[in-house]
Amino acid sequence: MSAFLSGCDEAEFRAVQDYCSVSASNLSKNVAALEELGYVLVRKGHVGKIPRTWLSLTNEGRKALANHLAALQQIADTAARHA
Amino acid sequence: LKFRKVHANMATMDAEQARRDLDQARQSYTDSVHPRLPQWAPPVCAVLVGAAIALAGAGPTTGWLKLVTVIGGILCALAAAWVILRIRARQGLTGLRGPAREKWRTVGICCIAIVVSALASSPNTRWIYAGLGVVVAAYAWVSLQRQVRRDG
Repeated sequence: MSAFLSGCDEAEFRAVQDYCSVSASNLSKNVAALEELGYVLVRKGHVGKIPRTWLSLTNEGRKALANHLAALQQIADTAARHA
Repeated sequence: LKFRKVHANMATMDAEQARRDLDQARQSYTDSVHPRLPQWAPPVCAVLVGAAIALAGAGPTTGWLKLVTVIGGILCALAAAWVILRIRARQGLTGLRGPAREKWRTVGICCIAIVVSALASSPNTRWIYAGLGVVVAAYAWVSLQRQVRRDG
């Protein structure tokens, strides 16, 4: 989800849900957890009369994702060196 | 020896998991940046991009006509970009981040370079721009065709 959000400024909740193929409640729980950590920003609004929710990755979230990916890359590289 | 084997297996599993996660992250980023396109989008954008270059480099001798063709070319290029961004926005994604943003910036700089060189074009050089338009249109079509959604 974070990697998906890293490619855009904002994504609609529904777009993320469709991409991750998870239920709305499942995604909400994950979003709430990431929001609590300060990694995801949730914005609520309306398009016409329809309520919408937009998700975006905060700078903290982007840093955390970059660090996580760097750690994964290090694990993969270390294993490749020892193979 | 048994411990070392188990340890080695765990290290391999971890590395495989790490590679899978990395691949998934890269794929998710790519999917976020490149919208799934409907069938009509690649040909439309290709024609617009090709027309933009051919029109900008048409190089008519009359000053105001040249200005009109260059502006027409710019509008065609902007229309192609608008189509892609609009499709992405309709899918619920706005703004670009990361390497994709740099790529769009590079494309923008190339467009400015073409516009600047097109301002110096003449009727003798219009075939160069027409040829360039065909090549770029074909490239755009092939590139965008990869993003066409399979589910129709």
